[in-house]
Amino acid sequence: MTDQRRRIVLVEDDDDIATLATMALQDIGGFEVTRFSSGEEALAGVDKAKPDVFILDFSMPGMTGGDLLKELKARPQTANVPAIFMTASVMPSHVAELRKLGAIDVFKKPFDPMTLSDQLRATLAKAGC
Amino acid sequence: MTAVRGPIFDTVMGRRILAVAAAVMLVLLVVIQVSSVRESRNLRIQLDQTYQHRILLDRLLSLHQDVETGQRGFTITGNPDFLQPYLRALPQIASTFAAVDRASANTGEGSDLAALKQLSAEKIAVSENVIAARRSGSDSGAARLVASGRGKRIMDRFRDEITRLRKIDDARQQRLVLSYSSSNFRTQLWTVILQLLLVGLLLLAFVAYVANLSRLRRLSAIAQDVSNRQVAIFNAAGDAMMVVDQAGCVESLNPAAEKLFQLDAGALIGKSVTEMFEGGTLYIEGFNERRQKRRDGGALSNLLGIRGDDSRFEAEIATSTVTLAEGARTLLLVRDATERNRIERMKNEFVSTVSHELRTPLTSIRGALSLLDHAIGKAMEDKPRQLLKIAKSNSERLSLLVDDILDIEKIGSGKFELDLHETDIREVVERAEEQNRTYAADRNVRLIVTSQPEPLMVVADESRLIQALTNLISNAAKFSPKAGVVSIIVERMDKAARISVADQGPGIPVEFRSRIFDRFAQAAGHESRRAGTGLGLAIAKAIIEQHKGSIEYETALGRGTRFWIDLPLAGKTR
Repeated sequence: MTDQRRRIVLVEDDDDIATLATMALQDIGGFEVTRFSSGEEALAGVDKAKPDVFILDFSMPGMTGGDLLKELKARPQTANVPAIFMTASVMPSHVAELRKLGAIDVFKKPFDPMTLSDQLRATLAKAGC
Repeated sequence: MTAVRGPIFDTVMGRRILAVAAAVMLVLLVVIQVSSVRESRNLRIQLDQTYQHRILLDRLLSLHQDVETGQRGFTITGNPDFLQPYLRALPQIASTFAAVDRASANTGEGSDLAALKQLSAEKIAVSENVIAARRSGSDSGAARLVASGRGKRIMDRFRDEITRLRKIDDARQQRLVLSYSSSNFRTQLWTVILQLLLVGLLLLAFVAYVANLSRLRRLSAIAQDVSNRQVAIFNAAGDAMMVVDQAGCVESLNPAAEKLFQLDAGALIGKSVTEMFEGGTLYIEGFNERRQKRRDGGALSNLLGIRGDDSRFEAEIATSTVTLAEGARTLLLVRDATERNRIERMKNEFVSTVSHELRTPLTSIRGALSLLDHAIGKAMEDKPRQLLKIAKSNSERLSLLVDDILDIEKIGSGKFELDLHETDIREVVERAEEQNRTYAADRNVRLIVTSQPEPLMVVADESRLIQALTNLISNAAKFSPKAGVVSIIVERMDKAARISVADQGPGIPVEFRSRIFDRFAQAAGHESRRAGTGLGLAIAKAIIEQHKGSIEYETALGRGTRFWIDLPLAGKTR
């Protein structure tokens, strides 16, 4: 499977950030991005999106990124899809906690849209995805 | 404070001089008196001897007159009874001469006695001849001998000799009396002089004593004044003050201490500091200095204070050692920092919250500008492109500032964590150099890394170490002259890995050096103010100290600055 055909499900409650990340991943990285603005919305539409990777904002009102990942891991269709958290808090202890939840990496906010796709590719390559 | 000066003899040296002078005079007085007594005694003895000598001379004359009287009486009468004075005198003449010899030995007149002895012998011989002639019945023979006048002439010469010797004795006696008087006069003169000097010294001592007394009174008044002021300050101070003895117990305190601990002085005096604070150990002179590092000059400790009702307060404690007459004491200055710390925490939380809230829109702005630049930047005309560049660089700067503020807040609140792994410091430095290469190149500055050939392992949080190094390298590049070089050297020291970052910049201004690692520290009026947050070095220092390392610098105005970081080496190097 080539990068261009990889589908990303991005769950981010902040519209601006979501737009930027989408543009960065689509226009610069060439990924296919499906956006959801909450965990609940993502759970409702994820099956249709058929993602190759999840990028989840950790701090969302209501269902957090962590709660969402638990739900996704519980579903057979999405249990094996690699997930990456985006968070402003990248304290080593916090990162370790997020990894324990099943994330393959944690991206720091604010991200550089120009390098976000490269960062994603490096992470996927490292995880063997 | 007023300086109180006394007379010269009120000084230690002055008092010593006074005492030594008095002692010397007393000794001199004693020496003079003793010497005078000795001299008087000698003179008296010599006078006695002279007097004895004279008496003996008189006795000799008297004995020879007896010889002559006996001889004459017998010659005239022929009656042996008249010989009695002659016979009694003969043996006494010899013993008297022996006595005169002894007396003369003392007076030094032995040579003169030889003549007297000769005359005595001649006189006795003449008398014996006359007496022998009379006994033989030759009256005329005896009369002839007497009439020859030889005996009379000898006797006259004998008398003259006695008179001459007497005169010598008289002269000697007179000399001795004069000498005695002169010696007496000298002794009295010296005694009077020394007594006068002693009286003078006593007067000086008295003046010094009176002056000292007056000075002591003034000093006492000043001391009382100072004491009153100190007591007033002690009592009026808003901070609690306590003097702690070497057993760690409160010895004295001010009213603020009673108020702070909600206990009266009676309950606090004698109470151990270990019952008054928790959460750490205070340095108390003589009590726990072996366990606790000494802190002088009001260094602060933060412990929890325990009030009388067992509630707690956040105590900021300054300790210092005071030396009193009864030994060293520790002065504790305790302040209730609960409210201040609460406000500080609120402020930090506020800063943290604001920074977090700023971060999200900033991310959007930066991202949007980057994407805009990427999409249409090249197609833009010069002026809009310039404006886009300004917007991008300032949003990046703002973003860095927010990141730095959040880091500093984490450091201040103890939430700064490290993700430690054993790592080759050379690789970390290379990555830091890579990340700063473009920044340096934009300023026409070259970064040159020199590393030792062998791996140099340290236990570090790579990203945080890169952050600290970036702060140093970007500073060095920022301060370098055009076409300057920033040298980054990695080397192994005895027990540490050292990374040095040296620039060829203007050096750190002297007035700024003491604050260089402070938060928001930037040299006033310096060109760097335009492009930094003033947090970089404070963060770098905190990161290095979290790694149990140290950061130092050396700088020379006009020649550059070198910072170096020492990090402890990992257990082994690969």
